Amino acid sequence: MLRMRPSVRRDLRNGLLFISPWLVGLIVFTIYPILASFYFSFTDYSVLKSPRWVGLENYVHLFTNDALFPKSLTNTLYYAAIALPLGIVGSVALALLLNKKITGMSIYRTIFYLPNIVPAVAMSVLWIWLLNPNYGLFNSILKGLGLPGIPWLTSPTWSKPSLILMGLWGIGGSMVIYLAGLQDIPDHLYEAADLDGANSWQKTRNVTLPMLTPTIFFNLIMSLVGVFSYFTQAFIMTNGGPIDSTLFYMLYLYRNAFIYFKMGYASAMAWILFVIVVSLTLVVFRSSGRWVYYGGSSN
Amino acid sequence: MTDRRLSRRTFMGAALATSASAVLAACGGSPAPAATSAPAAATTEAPAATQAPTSAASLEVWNNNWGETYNEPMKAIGDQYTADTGTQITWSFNDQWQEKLLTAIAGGIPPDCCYTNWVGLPTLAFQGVLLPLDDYFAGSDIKGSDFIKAMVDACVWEGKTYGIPGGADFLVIHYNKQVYADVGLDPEQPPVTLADWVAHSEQIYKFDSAGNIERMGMGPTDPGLIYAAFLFDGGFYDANEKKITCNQGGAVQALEWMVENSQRWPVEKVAAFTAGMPGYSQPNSGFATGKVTYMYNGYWTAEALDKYSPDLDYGLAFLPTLNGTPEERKNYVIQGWDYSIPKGAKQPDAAWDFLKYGFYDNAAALGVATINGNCVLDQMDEYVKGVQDWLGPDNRMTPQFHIFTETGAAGEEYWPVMPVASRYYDEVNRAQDFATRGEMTAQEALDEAARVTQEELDAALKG
Amino acid sequence: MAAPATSETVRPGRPRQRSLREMLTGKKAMRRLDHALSHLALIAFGLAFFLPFYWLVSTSVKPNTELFLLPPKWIPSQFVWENYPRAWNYLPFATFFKNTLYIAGFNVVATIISCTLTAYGFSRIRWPGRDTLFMVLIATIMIPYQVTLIPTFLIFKWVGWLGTFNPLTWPAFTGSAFYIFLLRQFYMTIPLELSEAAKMDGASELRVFAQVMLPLTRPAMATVALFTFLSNWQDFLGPLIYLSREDQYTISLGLRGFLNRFGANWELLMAGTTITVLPIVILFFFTQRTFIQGVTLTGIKG
Repeated sequence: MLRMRPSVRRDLRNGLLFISPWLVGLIVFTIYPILASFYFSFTDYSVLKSPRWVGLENYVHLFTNDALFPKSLTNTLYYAAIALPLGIVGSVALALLLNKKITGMSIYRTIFYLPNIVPAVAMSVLWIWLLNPNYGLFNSILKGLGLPGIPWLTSPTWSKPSLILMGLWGIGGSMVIYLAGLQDIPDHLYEAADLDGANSWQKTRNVTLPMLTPTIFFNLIMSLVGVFSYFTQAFIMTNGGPIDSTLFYMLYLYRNAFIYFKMGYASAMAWILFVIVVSLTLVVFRSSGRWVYYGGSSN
Repeated sequence: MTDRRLSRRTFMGAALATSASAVLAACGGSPAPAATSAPAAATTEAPAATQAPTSAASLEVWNNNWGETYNEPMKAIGDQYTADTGTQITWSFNDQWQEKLLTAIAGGIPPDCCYTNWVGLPTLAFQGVLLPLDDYFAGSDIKGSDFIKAMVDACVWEGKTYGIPGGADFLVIHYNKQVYADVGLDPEQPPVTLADWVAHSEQIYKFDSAGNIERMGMGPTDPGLIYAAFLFDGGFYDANEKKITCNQGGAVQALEWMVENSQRWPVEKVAAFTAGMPGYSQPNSGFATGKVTYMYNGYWTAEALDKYSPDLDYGLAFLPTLNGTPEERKNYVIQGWDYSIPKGAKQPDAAWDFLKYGFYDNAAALGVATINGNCVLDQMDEYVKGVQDWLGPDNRMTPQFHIFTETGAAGEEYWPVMPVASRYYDEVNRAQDFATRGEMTAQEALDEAARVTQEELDAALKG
Repeated sequence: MAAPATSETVRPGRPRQRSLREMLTGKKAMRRLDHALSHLALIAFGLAFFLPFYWLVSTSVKPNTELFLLPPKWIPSQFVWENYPRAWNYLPFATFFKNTLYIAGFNVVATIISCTLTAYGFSRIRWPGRDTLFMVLIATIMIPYQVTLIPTFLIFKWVGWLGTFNPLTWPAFTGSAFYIFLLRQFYMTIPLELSEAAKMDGASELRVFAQVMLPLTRPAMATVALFTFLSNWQDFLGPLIYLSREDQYTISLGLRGFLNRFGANWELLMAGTTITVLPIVILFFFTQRTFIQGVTLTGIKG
């Protein structure tokens, strides 16, 4: 080690001691598992017998021979491509609506936030019932309006949109984050816009949204990982059906690992996903220069 | 609790009923012992596992989670065992039993014995995590031929027996006689051939002006490809060649027939119609309300039908076959559940004692108590009597109960025992879904299932 | 950035005349209209967000015979409160609650201990390599759990912890990157002088941490505690993989089993779901401020 002043050395020791709980976790529950799963991805491993080296076989099989792999990947991408933007638009819109000094604001906020704390399993059970084609809430309303019912989860066309709709019910969480972001926007920017005679749409378009982009960016990055890990709802509500229309990546990975006992194969899937998520995150980061507004307030 | 229909008294009563009945009245032609299922005689030393009661304080027993109605009777068996031997039985009823079992075995904490089934058992046996029971069978003087053939055959992998049959499902058609009368069909003439079944259904199906179903005949995917393939003289596996055969002959014809049916009655419409509809075990079930005319199920339906729909006029019939001859009944599938002892179980001998007690010595009583099909052939009389006592002489089902047992006696087919049984099962069901939803032809879908499974199988056998 | 002025502006030098048009388009009126429209939209959305809850509770007190009516009954003809004890008694819900509380409680304590310590080390002490390691911490938030799932499972297999609560509890002592990040952001806002003064008086880092930092950062700790509790209450995959016997099940696993067993007994299922959701809804109402504050903390200044 470099020669250090005693005070620096002391600080280094203290610093490392303080972060040691996390450091242990980093090694045991992050670095080791990542490396191990990389190794397992080149093996045939059932947990019950010891791993057998198979080289690239798992990867080759995934890319050339397993129809469910691209299926689960496209299902997940479909979900991500629709649920993410819709979620952002929806929660920003709600936040904008709430950001006015309106009476009853905290009641609205509570109502919008509440679904966000409902456990995924409870949400799934509830929504199976809501989405029931015959006796569910949604089709009852549609029929009440004289519209035809929608087959929801029973149809391969509607199953994913159903899950997306359910996801939208939970946008209250990010709405609150946006609300905080909105309240951080300094008043003088609006005052300046007022002086320029901007109407409220123009203020939203030219002041609010640009100032909100760092929050959107942060949220997008955080939900990217979540959306690729989508599991519980699909596992409980449809278990991948009908005809694999809701077989999401994580669901297929789980099946391989814990039902077909193919841990090596599942590890290869995990690594492919890892690469995809990292690349997408990098793309978002790279693109952020073009749409994320880092001016205005300090920091 | 009203659902806890089977008290211990019932179980005891049935257990004490008719002690010595050797004639297989219900299970007519006594099946010849299967070559494969004969306990391996020339194996290594037999464990000391026979009469001498192994003194285990308690046994951990894992079962599938069937719901309270069926879990409770299982517990009654445990209670009885405790009363007789002093050994406590700790039950655990698990959803996802197969994953839970794998996790427990992998973690070195397997239960003493566990539920398996025709799909799970071979998969687990191939992984080498189940104890072969042949020595126990031999030591207890139990032969494979003592059991319903299809049930015990489904436990044998490469000459070794990995499970003891627990309960068999004898599935028959239940049909709503009132619907038959309403649409001008003879309520006493249920379908005999598959063509009859389709024709009757054509008459029964009712749609509203928007094309939505209001009343169902047979489902477009009834009775399921797993069952239908055998009715068309098809099969799924060539054990000698280790070859997947679901894309040949009868299986393909069966699926093509189902595809035809799904063109008459679209799967999606049926799914929307039946979604969220209460099942047979609940009040206002589709069958009880006359919305669904047929039900392919076991005799345990009696319980809910008596409780919730005492006035429902229903009949029972053999599953229709291609030509409607009694000989074709050998093509019926007999499925059910088994019990195994995981490798690494801490008290395998004591576990065996319990399995023998519950599933051999008292098999008939157990069948009655758990509302399952008895698997031990020479207890069939006792079993039938027990069930009829349970149903009562006035029950609608009693005069026709023989249809269940004759189905059990006739059926010879079962899901192939092979390393990737579980995956294959999923793939065949997937093929059925894709074909009947019009995404692929029957041949294409089954070719894909065969290709995928064959590959998995070859890899498994190689590895 | 400022928009060009296009809207009607009042021209100076002209006497103000209030026309009807002006009354409708005037600033004040505009604001009033805007608010009215906002309320309308909020009520519509609020209703949409609230309806599922209504359906949940109303189904849970319906008699079974009213579940499958067309058109459905919005208000049950009689309130069958017995659905609740029935649902509660069908499954060992009390055990599920106990298990969930144990896991969640353990996690709260362990997470608070590990995360506050680590956050302190990342914010209040300067040491070489700190910021690089902090970047590593941030990066770990982006790792999908699928990647670590299987080897982590194997670790617990080797330790012999499968089928016990341990895999769901003890790892909390190694902290959670996200909460560490959150706490660190909070610690950064506390003036350094406070801890420097204590250090001048000869206090050790641990003492500064315990006697200066912790008391000052209670709200942040409350937030982390609340979120940890909530996420453990909601967790499904962890218990699904690691717990094997029904008497170990958490509330989420139990509810899932409930669904399997009771297929279409929707009134009981909804009662069970309400039982699952109610405790955290109550918790939310009592701790709403901490909640909102916490969410706010997580969002800003990524």
